[in-house]
Amino acid sequence: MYLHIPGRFSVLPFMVTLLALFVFSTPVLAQRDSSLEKLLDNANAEGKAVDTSPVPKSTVADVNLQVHWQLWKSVLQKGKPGLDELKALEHDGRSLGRVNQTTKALGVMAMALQQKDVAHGHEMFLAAQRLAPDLPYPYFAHARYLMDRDLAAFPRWITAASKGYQVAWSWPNTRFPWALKFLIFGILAILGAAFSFLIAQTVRQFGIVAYDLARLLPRGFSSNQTVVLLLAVVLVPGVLLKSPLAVLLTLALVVSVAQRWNERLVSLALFAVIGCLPLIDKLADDLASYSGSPAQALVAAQYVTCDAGCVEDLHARQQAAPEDRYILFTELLAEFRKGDAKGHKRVIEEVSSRDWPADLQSYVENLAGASELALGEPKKAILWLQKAEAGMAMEAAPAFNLMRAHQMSDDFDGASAALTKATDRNLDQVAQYLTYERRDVNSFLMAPGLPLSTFWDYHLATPRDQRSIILPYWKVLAGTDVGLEKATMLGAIGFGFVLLGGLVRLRAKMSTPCPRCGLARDPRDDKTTGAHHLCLPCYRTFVTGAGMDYQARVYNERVLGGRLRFQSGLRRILSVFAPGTGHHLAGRSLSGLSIGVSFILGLLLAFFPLGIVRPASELLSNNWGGTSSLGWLMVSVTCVIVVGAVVRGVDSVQVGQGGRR
Amino acid sequence: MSRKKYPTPISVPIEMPDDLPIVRDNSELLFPQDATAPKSSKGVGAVVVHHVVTFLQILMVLGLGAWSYVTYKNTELFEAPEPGQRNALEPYLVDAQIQRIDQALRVYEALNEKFPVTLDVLVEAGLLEPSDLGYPASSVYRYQRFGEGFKLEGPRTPANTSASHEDALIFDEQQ
Repeated sequence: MYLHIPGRFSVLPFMVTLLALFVFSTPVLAQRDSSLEKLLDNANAEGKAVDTSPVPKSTVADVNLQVHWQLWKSVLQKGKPGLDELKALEHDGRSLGRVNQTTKALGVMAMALQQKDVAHGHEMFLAAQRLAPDLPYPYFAHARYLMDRDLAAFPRWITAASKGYQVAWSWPNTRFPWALKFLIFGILAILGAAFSFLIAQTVRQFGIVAYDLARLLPRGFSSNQTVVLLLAVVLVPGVLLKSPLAVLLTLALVVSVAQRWNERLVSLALFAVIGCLPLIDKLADDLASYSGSPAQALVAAQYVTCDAGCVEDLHARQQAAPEDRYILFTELLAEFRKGDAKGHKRVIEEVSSRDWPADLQSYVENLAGASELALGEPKKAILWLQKAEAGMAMEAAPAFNLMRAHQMSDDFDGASAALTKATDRNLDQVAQYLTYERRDVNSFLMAPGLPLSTFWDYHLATPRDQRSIILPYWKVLAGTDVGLEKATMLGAIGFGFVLLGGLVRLRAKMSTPCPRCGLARDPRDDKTTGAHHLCLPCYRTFVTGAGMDYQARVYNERVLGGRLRFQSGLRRILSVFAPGTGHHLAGRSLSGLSIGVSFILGLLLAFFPLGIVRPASELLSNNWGGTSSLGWLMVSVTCVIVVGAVVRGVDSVQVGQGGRR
Repeated sequence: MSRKKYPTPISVPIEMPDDLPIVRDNSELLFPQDATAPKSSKGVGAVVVHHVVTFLQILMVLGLGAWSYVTYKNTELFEAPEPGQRNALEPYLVDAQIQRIDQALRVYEALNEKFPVTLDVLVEAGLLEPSDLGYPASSVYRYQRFGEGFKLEGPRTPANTSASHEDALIFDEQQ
């Protein structure tokens, strides 16, 4: 059965419109931002008093942050959003080198969700986003809040959600758990759907293969003996290997002989997944082990905060692994953010005296340039920063610092050109820093952490005990004699067999299931039936039935009609118990696979939206990024199709001459 | 509801050229076979094969299910993995859960100026899901509030005995 919905209710145009709005929302909705232009003009103003003195350390203390926070809470209790207090908190935090104030941002977000005044809530969400710009949850919560309370703000919630997904993709603490969630759930869904495919294919094709094998075997073999022989072929390898999986795979191979190309594609996908299991197992282990790993500690030190305990820990780790430049860079970054002249000198010395990996080179040069600026040496800084600029094509930091260096050198043209370059690279980041009016190392200069992709590479390179996530379950299914390492070989053999089996199909020598009665449609009858898609009995009864003996026709219609109703009923019933199986049984395997995967994946996402490794900051809801909603949507769409399949039935595909439809 | 009436085949004699397969049937119509002669049984073999196959398939699926079950249950028939091996993910999950509960405690403290008395308060406040305090399955997190800090310990299951997972997260604001 095809999913047929009347045009005016068609889901496709609606989905396409949503997708288009989602993809193009940001550029379409882009507007001139007068405050941003004013900031840029101010930064670029000629004739401003030149301050060539060293850039000092922050004058802010932790207690200032607490004061702002308490003030904000007291203002909030009076019914105001407390935006000034949040802005002071953000600026003071930045001044102290707190790149993401995660806890505070989540606190603001929790309060913003309770705001009845949409304008207040909206502003508080924006403040939460500024407090932790790398955290995706304030964006998602913002989108959901506007969706619930202000449907007219459609563009804004689309933009917030879009930004949320972008940030979630970049933020390792979200990206890796989500990747693991979709990886494991996806594999489970594919394997589940593949199992229903196998059951349906067995019902659909096993008899056909047995019929053809009976034709092939020498005279003397009865039909029943052929079936027993075929079952032995399926069962014996599994029994010898003590492996239920071997039985299933042999069965998949046997039924693949008679498959159409769309069914063959699903079989190929099944064997490809099995072949990739060792790879998937390793990837799953890499993703799962990120939580609590040294790489995650480096992310926290560079992108959240690095207090005294963190610095001590970094120092100890550096002592233990003196050649680890990533730890050293993190330590130097923490040193720079403290703002002491001694620390800046150490940064320059370390950067100058050591070799650095290529992916770190530009970042340490930028750090050294920023340190020179902090020491009041703009000429030396320019040399570092020009080198850094060449290697950090996507980062605004070196160009921005170069602008500061030219400003300190009283070079207006150089500063203007550098600012233009910085805004070209990352306008948001530049605009954010231009709002910090203080002159301290963390507000005045840009010293970003490493690109977030670097931490994944670092995590992979860090030695650790590998744990196999799939192996225990593999042993249950495959037995102890078939190790997981053999999965690649099994997958490759199966893949090759199914692919080469296509040649048999091309020769059109195999029988195909009759779309009416489900029995074998013998290709030798093509001469009689004119290569009709029905088998000979069905053809004689339903196509040329007018020429049959009356009694014979009545008899045939009763018998064959019963088979037709049995096939149809079976497809309907199986569609209810295992969505997609009815489609598989009708020969619509790609639809069946899509339905099966969608149903199982949808259920998993709906009931386990937090995934397997639950991210630390995914608090207050279990539907972050619309995971649960997506799951229910998938289940709902599947259920609509299943209801259609049950009510209208699933038409079997019609295979004619040469195995074509 | 009336049935749609079709003419009987005999009332619709069709003349067809000889090279089409339908002619065979028409010829049978024009020259009826002897009624006492046994009727041809074309396709009967296939029907038998089909039903036997279906029956055997059902047996096979049931057998596979039973086989998987006894394997999983580690009966004497076949070997199953050690119980500890089934929890390869558990240490990672415990690590992540400790971070998650820790984050929730800090957010709670930021908003309420004190840490909660028990972890259940975090669930009541909506910060955590009810399942968070027992995830992964059967895990229990020990939490103790003191002064301006807290101590949070992860479960110590047989699968969770490696050094890196003897977690005891201590947070003291006075330090």
